[in-house]
Amino acid sequence: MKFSKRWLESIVGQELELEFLLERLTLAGLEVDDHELLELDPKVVVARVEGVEKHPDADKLRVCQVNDGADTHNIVCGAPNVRPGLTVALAQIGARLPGGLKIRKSKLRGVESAGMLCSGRELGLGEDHDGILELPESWTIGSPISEQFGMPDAVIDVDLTPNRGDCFSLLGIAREVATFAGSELESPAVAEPDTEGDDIYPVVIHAPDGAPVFSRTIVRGIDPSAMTPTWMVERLRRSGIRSIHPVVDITNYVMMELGQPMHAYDLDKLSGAIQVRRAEQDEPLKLLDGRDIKLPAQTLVIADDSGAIGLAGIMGGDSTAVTSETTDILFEAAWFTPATLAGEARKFGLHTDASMRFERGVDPTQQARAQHRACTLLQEIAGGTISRTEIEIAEDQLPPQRAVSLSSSRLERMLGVQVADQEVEQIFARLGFAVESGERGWTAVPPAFRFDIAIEEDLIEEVARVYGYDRIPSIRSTGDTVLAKAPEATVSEDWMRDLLSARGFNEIISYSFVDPALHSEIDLAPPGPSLLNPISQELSVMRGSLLPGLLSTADYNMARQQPSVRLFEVGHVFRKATEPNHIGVFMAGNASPEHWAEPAREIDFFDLKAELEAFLAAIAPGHKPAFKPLTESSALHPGQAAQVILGEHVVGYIGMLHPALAETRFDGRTGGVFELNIDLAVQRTLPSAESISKFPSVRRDLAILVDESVLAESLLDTVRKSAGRLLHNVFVFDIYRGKGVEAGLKSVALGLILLDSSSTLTDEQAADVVAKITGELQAVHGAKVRE
Amino acid sequence: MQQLDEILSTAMAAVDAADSTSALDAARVEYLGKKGQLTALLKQLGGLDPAERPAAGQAINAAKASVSKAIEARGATLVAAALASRLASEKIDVTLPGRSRPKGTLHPVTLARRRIEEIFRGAGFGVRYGPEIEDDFHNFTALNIPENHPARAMHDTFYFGDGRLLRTHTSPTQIRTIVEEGVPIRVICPGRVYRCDSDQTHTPMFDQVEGLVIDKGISFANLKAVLHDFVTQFFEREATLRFRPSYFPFTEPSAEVDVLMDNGTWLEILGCGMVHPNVLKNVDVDPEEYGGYAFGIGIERLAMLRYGITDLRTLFENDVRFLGQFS
Repeated sequence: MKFSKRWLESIVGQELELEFLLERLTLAGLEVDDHELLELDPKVVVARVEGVEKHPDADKLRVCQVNDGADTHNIVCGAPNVRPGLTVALAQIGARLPGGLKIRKSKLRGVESAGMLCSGRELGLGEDHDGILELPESWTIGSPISEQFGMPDAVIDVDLTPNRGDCFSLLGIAREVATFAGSELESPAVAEPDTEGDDIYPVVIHAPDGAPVFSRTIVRGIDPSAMTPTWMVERLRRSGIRSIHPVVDITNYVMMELGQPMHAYDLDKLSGAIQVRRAEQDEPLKLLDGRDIKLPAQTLVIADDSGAIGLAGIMGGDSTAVTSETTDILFEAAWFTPATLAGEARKFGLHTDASMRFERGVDPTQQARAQHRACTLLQEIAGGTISRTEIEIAEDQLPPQRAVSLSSSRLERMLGVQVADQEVEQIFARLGFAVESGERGWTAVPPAFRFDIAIEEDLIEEVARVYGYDRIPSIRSTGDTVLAKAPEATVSEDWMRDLLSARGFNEIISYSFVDPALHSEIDLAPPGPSLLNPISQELSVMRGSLLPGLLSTADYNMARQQPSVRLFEVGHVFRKATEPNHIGVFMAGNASPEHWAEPAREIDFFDLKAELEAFLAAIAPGHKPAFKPLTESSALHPGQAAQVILGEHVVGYIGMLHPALAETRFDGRTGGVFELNIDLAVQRTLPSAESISKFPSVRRDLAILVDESVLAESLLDTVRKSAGRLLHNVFVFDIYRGKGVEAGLKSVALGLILLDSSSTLTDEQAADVVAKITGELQAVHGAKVRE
Repeated sequence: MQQLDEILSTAMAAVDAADSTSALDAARVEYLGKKGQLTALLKQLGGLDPAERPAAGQAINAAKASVSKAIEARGATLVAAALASRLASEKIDVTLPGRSRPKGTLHPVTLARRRIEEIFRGAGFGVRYGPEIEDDFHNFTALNIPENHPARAMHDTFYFGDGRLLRTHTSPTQIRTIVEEGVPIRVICPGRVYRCDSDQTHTPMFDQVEGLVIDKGISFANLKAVLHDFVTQFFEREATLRFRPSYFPFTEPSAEVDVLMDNGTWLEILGCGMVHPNVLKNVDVDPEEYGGYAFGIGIERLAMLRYGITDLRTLFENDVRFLGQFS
């Protein structure tokens, strides 16, 4: 809520030093979001236009004779509304305007100008820049305009928490300031205005549970041409409220001052008694903002014989609105219960000053006072005769005055400090609580404007707040701490991060919601659920894979002159009912940083697989991963992709981007990715030491011819299964196609490392093993040994 | 023995002339080998007068020894020369860069989160994680934010069609942890949270660490101490904190905490308070017996302060020129 410091001072009854005020507000729990100083140079004065002539050389400019009380000056002005007799704001030579502009003597198209006639915007008084400001004739020529505009002043913006509806007014803020300054606040007296007659508008309350208090006052015969005075326009403007019409301005002014939302009807437009009732299903209502809505049943409305004429406590209707012709007014000041209005405004996409206050709780005892204040102001500004205020009160629907008890021992236990009994009582007194002390503590009855006091903790908070959080000491808690579990076989995500960053990957964090169009091109996993209210369409579906984020980020970086990217991300992906934790790695561009001794080379599948194998060897030692060709993904190259299998689980995939996807989403570059579900791979086998063999190992190489379609992994499997216990390791060390090898076949060279832990192997033993392997390779894969 | 003198001088000349180890070897064979010239002279000794034999033998052996010595010396010279020439030919510019590996980095949010975890683990806090898609009960109702509560508007929540939502804080993980592990409890819950808000200072996704201690006899004074210690450890300098009254539905009393900056201004860094009794009741903990405190820290804010990052949005742009600085 924004407000003028001077307005606040008028209620507190004393001037407040700005820094002091800001600190008090902050310590009261009213967070100051921002503050702005309002000042006007005293060289901006009230002046009168005495004559206006055409500029000799410019169609749009006029040369004016302007009297500033001391002298008459030639001033060049381009405003369409400048005319003789007009009272204006003159910025004299040397004046500095709020925007920083300094007024100098100047020539405009050859004519001298000794100052500037200012628009509202040029003086920091709103956005109006259609013409120069027109001031009341009554203002003294030559006097600085700053005092007339209530300056200097400061606009303070406090961020109110939802529990403090009582602070949604200058009065409420003034109460807090007084409490924290240790002074008593004299709540500004509002005298009952002189009334004439018993002109009472009929009202029927059908829903007293929603509107326990409903008051109204008729004011007849106001001057429709009356203007809102500058001081009120300015105070409202500083609260962010635009001046619309004196009657509307007054309802806003009273709401800002006392916290009571009000509504004004054009009396002539009402037909029959006002009814406060629940709406019928789909009852139509045209709101003040011009929108036609259909009401859900049970919505609390204000109605007359014509139907609904307002959303109770939220917004009035269009049909009974005050206009520039209105002469007779009906003011409404009601108390709608927080429970009735909770969440109501939002149903209609509204968030009004009134609904915000009623939802949080308005003082149910101040309706008559608000009426009196509004009528008095209206009479001052626009005349008229005021009738008696009539008020309906459903006593049984008013919030009960609840006494809450506070035990002194609990207070001390919770805060960790003992607050003297006397101080506790003083605090409650200053807050306007009726407090009684008992044997073990107190009972306190909160004032009617407080809706946030129901339990003991609420009272403890009030004591702590006023006592001062800064006076509560810092005391380290003592007691046993339980030593944390340290499961060594569990591989932590952070360790995985360390592994990848040590291998030269940059960790990224991308949004968990992605573009559904991009996700649909990545068929490795279905997207997760869609958001009902996304920030934008591009961020509207939960990712089912880390690839959309990795791919977009890689593209972003490659488009910014990076020779390569090596990215990884750890994060949740989203399924219908689960959200497994994934790790994704993306590589593109050069295989290694450009080096003078190495030929530059783009990454390929085996660079990628090397990273995956190294990663798996670290996080899942003892688990040998298997790879199964993945040929049917639209995201991955059908000949360069595989499922990654660990034990019984398919834990992820690896592959080069499908050229078609790369074309549309990666500017045609080559890139590769692997992604693993780390929830399935976080348990490793703890090392269990074996003694190492004292005997030398023997290497035998075996080159075989097999059909192109035979996978290396299956050959190795066959070797492992057939070799027996002497095989220590087997690996592929060469693949050859071409001269000497029949087309459709390939030559695969296998390195066999044989080892016996109890003796040195003989040539015969080694030959036996090789023969066994050769036989099996022949039987299973049709392999022929190359000589 | 004029013959010996001649052989000796040609042998010495041959050794001197040898410009490689193979030439030197040839010279050795020529003169000292089994069929070498000096060896041949020795074989002829038997034909001499026995009286002359010892003197002649001595002379031949002396000649052999000097040739042998010369060969050895020449050999050493040749080895040294070969080594010198090899070293010269293998000389490189050692200031040229090595074959480099790309440099990897951790995201600054990860760095800050790990720091926070490390500090709290040291004080006996457990670390718990939870789901990011939550239900209304865990994110709101259990935390004393019933439906239509104005505080819900503070949260700008992302919703799904089935009524579930993206958690707006990691407090739901605290609720789950109390339910699973019971009290007393001492945990922090780091994680990703979401608010439907996006501008210069807000991203729709960010990271939080929330802390929770529930035990007997926990006070606001304890909360002040733990947060002071935390901020001091995190920034590795004595922290000055300001606790301001504030409002969160799940704590009471509640506070927002500012840290005093070098330029004399206060900067808000976290929210905290004593756990609201309704929250305790919602998870079957007796608020008469147990009490506690909770706090919530925005990780991005701390990362920005710690590492001098001025624009929040750069944290999620993932420009490697930015990320590359966090090695």
